[in-house]
Amino acid sequence: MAHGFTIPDDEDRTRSTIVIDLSNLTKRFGDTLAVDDLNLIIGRGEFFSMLGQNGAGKTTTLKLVAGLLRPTSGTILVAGYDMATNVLDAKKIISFVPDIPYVYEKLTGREFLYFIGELYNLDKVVYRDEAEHLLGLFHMQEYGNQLMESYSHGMKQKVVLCSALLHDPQVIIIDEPMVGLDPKSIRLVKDILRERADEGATIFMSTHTLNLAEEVSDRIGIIHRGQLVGLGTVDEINSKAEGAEEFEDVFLKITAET
Amino acid sequence: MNGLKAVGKTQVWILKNIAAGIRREPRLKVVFITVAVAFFWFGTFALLYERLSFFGAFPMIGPALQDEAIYLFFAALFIMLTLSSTVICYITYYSSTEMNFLFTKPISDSVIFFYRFFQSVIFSSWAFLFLGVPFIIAYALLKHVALWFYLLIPLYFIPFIILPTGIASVIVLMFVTITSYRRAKYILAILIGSLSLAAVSYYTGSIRPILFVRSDIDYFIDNLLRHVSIFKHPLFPGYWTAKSVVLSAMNDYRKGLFYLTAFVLTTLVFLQLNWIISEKIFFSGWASSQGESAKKYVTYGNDIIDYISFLFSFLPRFTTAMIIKDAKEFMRNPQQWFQFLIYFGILGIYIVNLRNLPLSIDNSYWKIIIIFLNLAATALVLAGLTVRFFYPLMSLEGNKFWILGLAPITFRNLLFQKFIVGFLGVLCVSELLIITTNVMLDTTVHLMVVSTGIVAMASLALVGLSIGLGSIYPSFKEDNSAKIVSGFGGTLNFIVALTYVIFVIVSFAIPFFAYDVYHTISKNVFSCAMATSWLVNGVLTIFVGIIPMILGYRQLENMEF
Repeated sequence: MAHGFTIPDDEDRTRSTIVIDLSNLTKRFGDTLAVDDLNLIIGRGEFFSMLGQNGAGKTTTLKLVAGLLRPTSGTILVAGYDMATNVLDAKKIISFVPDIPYVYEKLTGREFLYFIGELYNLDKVVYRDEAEHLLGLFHMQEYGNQLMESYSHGMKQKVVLCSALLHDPQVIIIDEPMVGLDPKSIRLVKDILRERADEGATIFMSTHTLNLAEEVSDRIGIIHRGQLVGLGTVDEINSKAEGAEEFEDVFLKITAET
Repeated sequence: MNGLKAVGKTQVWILKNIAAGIRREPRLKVVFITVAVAFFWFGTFALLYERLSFFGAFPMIGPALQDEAIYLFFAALFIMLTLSSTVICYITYYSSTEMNFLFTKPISDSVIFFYRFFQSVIFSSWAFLFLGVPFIIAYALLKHVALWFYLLIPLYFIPFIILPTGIASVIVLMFVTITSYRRAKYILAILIGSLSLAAVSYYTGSIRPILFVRSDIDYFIDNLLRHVSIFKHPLFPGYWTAKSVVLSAMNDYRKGLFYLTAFVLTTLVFLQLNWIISEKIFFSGWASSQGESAKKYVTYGNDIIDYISFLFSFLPRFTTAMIIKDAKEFMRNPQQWFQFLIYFGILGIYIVNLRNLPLSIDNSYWKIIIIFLNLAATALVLAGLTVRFFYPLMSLEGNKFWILGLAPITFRNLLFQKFIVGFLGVLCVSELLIITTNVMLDTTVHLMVVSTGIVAMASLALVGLSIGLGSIYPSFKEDNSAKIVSGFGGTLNFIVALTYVIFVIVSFAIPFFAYDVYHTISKNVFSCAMATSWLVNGVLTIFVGIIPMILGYRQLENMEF
């Protein structure tokens, strides 16, 4: 409970399959408590967005779910796999797009996708076809043979998005996906992610862009100082903010310090 | 000049923050690095002092030989500083992202230029402290100079490190303006490469190995003096500093001051020249470098990649994919192969110089000395090679580690991939080297077996050690492999590698000397000693190579990205 909001009990929600299950998740970096006793369930085919101010714990939560960080306490289950004991199986069905697209600058975009295909042990013909399809989708085919060191931030972001979709993941974890993308690409990414969610993939996205979260998400979680202080659909969250009309006002009210 | 004061202050703050960071580091680590640095400094000093004493011991000509060494040293250093400054100026002026920030600020182009210029001076000459200072102190001690000679040392050195950067800076500014940023890179690389090769060939021609088993030392000295004379040309700036040092050491300060003044004035002229040129062309050169086509295609090496892919196709897919990825990154990074070529260039020179050794000598003492020295040289090159190229491998994954951290692979596989590639590569190169040199030295079958065995063990231990320590102490924020190596883990790697190599070679050399040279042990005792050496060094090899790999694996398993 915070700021007069009641966090809906996820256990009450009816879902065909629970894909992400976080229980009492806590992450400390030295003295800093980045994630504080977080409980969250996200279902199959759900598009879930996590909102929060800078340093609220969004990226840390995403990295914990992706297996890039280890929790201080609590458990993370992804598609039933415990990330503490069965991480390799979980990784096969997860993909992660970081906020900053660090890539191998001395590889071409196409080579990078082939490399990812090999890492995920995909069939060579299948991943080459899929790589071409994705490069085409993101209008990157003509740049595919250029070294990535000559790419702009947006182009690298597109290649990383292609790599995240290459192995047809069941869980797509995506951190600030629209940074550096042009309006056309933003529209494209939104459509692709929505489409994947409709086909059954689970999308777990963090963003600062309230409009984006409002537009595409099935549910939104608002994180503040590592705690989940708001959870539900946009309407559910709006309805609980007394006196606030716009979602932006709701967000600011929930995350106000005092 | 306010701008210069501001950027200067920023550097002071950065240094203060670095110092504060060091205070937060574990004390043991700080002590270790300090001791290691002191060890290298005093080691260099002791070596130079010993060599200068050796020259000084020659009857009649000893003191003159020491002076010749000063001329040669300052000449070599001046050329090396100018060549390395050219590369550093090029990178510092045009490739730094900081320039985008600085050029948006209300600071004049010349101020920005000189800020970068003095950064280049510091980057290109910090190593000078570890080579130049011990050399001149060793020289001064042997010459029994007056106390205030030592106080003059900074006066010799400060202009000596600025002038090479001044010359290099003018060359870089002009080249980039006349050609283009990209073309200048290739022209300068070819120019520096050719000059380096010419300098090394000339240098090795003048300093042939001292043939301590022959009596033609007179020939050696004559040869040396003839070659050094070129560096005493009155128009060569390196000569002025050397002459000034030599004259000051002889208490002829008045003449010494003349040469020093000539050097200082030339330095000032080049600073002024840089000021004038930078005002006119620095920004325009930088701006055009930013506007050059950024498209970079792969135009070479695909056949080699296909060959590597075929060669390693028997390995698991992930391993092959990593090998191909690493090979592509290496082939497309000229900085890496430039340093790789330097290593093999030095090796080539070493092998060519072996011809100067008395290959048909019957004296078993010298024969064993030469063969074990050759073995030591090979093992030390191997140690340097593994520290320089394999220690940074894990760190170079750097901020891309999230890709591997996310993939359904184990770090055991990742470490194995790095190890197997490194081990096979190093084993082939080092065995080829040791067999070639042993054939040239006309060694016995037994010594050949021992040499190849030691090299095989050393390849395993040194590659495992470098990859293991590189995983225990990764430096993911740094993408310059030379800087990665100069950290704590790299230093530790070098010291352990060095100690291992010395131990292994000495432990095999002792029984050979005792049996073949001094005849103090019987054949049975010799066989026993050899068996013990194999056993002890085998265990040591496994310990040195495998333990760091296990610790590195554990470190990676617990790592967060």
